[in-house]
Amino acid sequence: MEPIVLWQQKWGLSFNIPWYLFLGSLAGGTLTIGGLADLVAGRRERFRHLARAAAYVTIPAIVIGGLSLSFHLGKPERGFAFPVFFTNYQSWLTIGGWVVGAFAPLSVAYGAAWYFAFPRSTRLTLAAFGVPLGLVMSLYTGFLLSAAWVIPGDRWYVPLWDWRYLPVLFALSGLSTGFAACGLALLVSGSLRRFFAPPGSAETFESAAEVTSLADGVSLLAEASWVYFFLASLAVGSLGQQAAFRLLTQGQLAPWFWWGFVATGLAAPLAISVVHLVSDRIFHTPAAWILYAKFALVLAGGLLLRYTVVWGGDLKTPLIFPPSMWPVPGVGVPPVSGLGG
Amino acid sequence: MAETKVSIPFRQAGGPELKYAPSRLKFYIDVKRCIECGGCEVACKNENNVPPGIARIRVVTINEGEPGETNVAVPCMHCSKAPCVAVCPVDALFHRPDGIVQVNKETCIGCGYCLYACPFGAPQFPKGDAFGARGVMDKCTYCAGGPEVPFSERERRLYGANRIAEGKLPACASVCATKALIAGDGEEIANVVRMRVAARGAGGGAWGWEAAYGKGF
Repeated sequence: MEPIVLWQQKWGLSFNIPWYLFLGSLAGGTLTIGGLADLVAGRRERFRHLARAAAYVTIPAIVIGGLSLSFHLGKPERGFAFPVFFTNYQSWLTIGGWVVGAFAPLSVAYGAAWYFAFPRSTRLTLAAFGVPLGLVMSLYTGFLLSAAWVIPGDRWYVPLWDWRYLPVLFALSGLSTGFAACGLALLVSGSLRRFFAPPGSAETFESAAEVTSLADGVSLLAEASWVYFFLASLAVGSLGQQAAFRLLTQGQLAPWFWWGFVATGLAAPLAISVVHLVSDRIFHTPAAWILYAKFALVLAGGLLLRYTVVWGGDLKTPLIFPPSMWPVPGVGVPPVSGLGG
Repeated sequence: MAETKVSIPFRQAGGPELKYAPSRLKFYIDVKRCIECGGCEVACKNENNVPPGIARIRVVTINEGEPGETNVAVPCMHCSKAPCVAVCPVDALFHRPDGIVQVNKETCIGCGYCLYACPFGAPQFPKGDAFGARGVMDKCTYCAGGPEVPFSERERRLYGANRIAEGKLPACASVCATKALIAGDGEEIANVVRMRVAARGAGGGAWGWEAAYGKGF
């Protein structure tokens, strides 16, 4: 059967959009985490290490993500000049342009506040702005996709991109991948300090990484619960949503979803968390190295979630074909798979 | 942007307030009549000098070789509440007074958002730039050219022919041998749909009508 959707340039065909969605929500998560940790840190060294690591991770994430977003455009130069060109405030792309436009300088300023040791009050002010803006940034990556969903008249053209679930899913994933990125940065800093710094300074970093790992576990549990609600909603939704559910769980995307995201990004890291806790609390043999694997798996799972969701956007709700008009055998099965290519 | 001077056919409405209201131009795609001759595709490419790899209209076959095989000519439907217009961040897509959805290639940034919003898969992105990068969007213009001076060389090069300004129908509809693809004033087209529905007893085969123009004819 010939595909009905005539697309040459789908977002899933190049790395730009999936990587932007991943790095954008990761950066939002890290700035939120860093800001919160900074605000509650006081004299607690572990929290200060976490906040500093988050500040430093946010900058490359948003810069690479932003460049990735800009260079997927047919005319990147018009994208860079978004305050002039972006005039339709109904569009989430316009709103997102301003969100990224505010987020990137703030995250650079926050990183600079740590690096150049700005006064604490200045840093905390930046952190106070960064916490909500980071959350908005993570949510926005979901809204960007979801906005193709409801216009006009509540028709669902891309049934997988459900605006009730996707933004929160990306925000939770932003937190879990943000914790993972911060944890990885702390572990790497700790390892480097073992070689290049006075003895004893590495332990605080590893201890901060363990706290980060615990928080990551909590956010992974929240993310897994949200994924369950999302799938349950798809399974009992409209015909298009049911088709999206089948595509995700049994169809072409099933290996990517189950093995790439659920197993790699959720189940394995949670299992590693349990193993780490047991080895630490019961056998008193802490194994910091195992956290490397956990954080790397969370990041890989987060990236594959974005790829899976973007690829799943190829499934468009078929137009309505009343049986009288369209004699399709077995009414109920969409006559067009919608997987255009 | 150049001043647009497009002559638009006027509907002779009864009331004074509607006297000069422009026609609402629409497409009617009758899936019961299409024979997949491909005449519309050829006429479109020929009339508009469509770039290689781009199909402003394409005949799609559903259930090929099976009972219920159906052919659908898919152009841009120029929807009443066009989702592409709603999502375009730079307002490169807009409605003309006669309902035609036009794209301004001078402001399009080639983000591809319209591609996902459109239920008909109308937006096309030629790999016109260096290294095969995505160019700006191209789609069916209803043979109405673009937001440039009508009949100018620039309009011809960027958008193709402007048959509407000449008082003609889109090329695809004018060559359709079986009248499966009809273009023109929405009210006139609705009359055709009603006649065909009455003749058939049920179902006018008006593919995509509800998605594009809402319920009813």
